[in-house]
This record gives sequence, structure tokens and C-alpha cells, in this order.
Amino acid sequence: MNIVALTRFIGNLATAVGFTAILFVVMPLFPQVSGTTWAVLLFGIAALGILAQLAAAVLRPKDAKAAWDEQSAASNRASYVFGYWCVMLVFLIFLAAVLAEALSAEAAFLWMSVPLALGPTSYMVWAFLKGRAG
Amino acid sequence: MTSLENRLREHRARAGLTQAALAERVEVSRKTINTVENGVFVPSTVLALKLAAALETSVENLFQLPETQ
Repeated sequence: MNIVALTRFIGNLATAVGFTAILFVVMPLFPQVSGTTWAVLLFGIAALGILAQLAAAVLRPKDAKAAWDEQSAASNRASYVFGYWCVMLVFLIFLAAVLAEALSAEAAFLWMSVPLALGPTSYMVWAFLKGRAG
Repeated sequence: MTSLENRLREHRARAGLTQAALAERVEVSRKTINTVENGVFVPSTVLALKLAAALETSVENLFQLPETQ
């Protein structure tokens, strides 16, 4: 088992699931908690994932080389393309919502973080499960 | 997408290597060897040359364009 690839998978899964769970399940249950707290928590999860990958790469350099081979690099590039189109789609939906005054521009700006985080990470989770990353 | 026929699995088996052993020799993941063998992933020229060297054969023996092309 490639430790670096596994750490990357867990980090991406935690970010994807964590973002979704916190934004759509946990946040509505605790409306008294400030937005800053949630932001720190959300980006803390992503930062922990990055740090865990860095630590694994330093401890297992051979695994890091295999985990970032050309197929994984291609999947990683594809994840950003996927993320771009996710963001574009959500932007258009939010733009329509803001123009229709169904959503404030400030809220739309904050909610854009969801496709930004979920697009690439969910693609990499899929790539790992399909054997296309690490 | 360009299709590519390959005989990687056959040459690897002839060399008595597992996917993991070949992956270690060419410094990629086992999954990459698997997807190349199954025609899911088309390797770069560099990786094709590394695979050929590891299996002591030529790139042309490992990979060919389909005859219709």
C-alpha cells in the first residue's frame, strides 16, 4: 500500500465529506456559531490534509514518487479542469440567483468556496477509487 | 483519443515480474502498470522507454498502433 497515495485519498475524502457535512448538516444545527469559526474549521480540515500529505511524502519519498507518477499527475490536472467547470456552473446559477434577488452577493461569494473545494477533491477521490491516482 | 495496442502484460509475465515489481523498477504506482496493461492509460514516451528497458525489449514490441490506423 502506497502511504502517500492513501494519505492523499483520505485528505481529499475528508475535505469533500467534511465540507459537505459541515455546510449542509452541522452548520444549520448550530446557528449561534460564528462564520469565522466555521471558516477556520473548514479550511483547517483542508490544511490538515495537505500537512498529512507533506509529512507522508517526507517520511516515504519512494512512495511519494510513485504516488505522483504521470498517471496521478494527469488525474490531478483533470481534477482542476473538472473543478473549473463546477465553479463555472455554480457561478452561473448564483449569478441568476443574485440577479433575481434570491441570494445576496456576499452569500454567493462565500458559497463559491463549496465548488472550489469539492470539485477537485471529489474528482481525486473518484480517480483513486478507479485506480487512476496512486 | 489515440488507441494503443500493447503487449505489456505478456512481456511482464515472460519476465516473471508482478505488476508491483515492474512498477517499482520504473518508479510508478502498481495502479499505473495495471491501467497501462488494460489500455486505460496511454503512457508517455519516457515511461514507454522505461518499461521497455525494464523488460529488456523494444518499445515497438510493447506498444503498437492498431493496424487500421
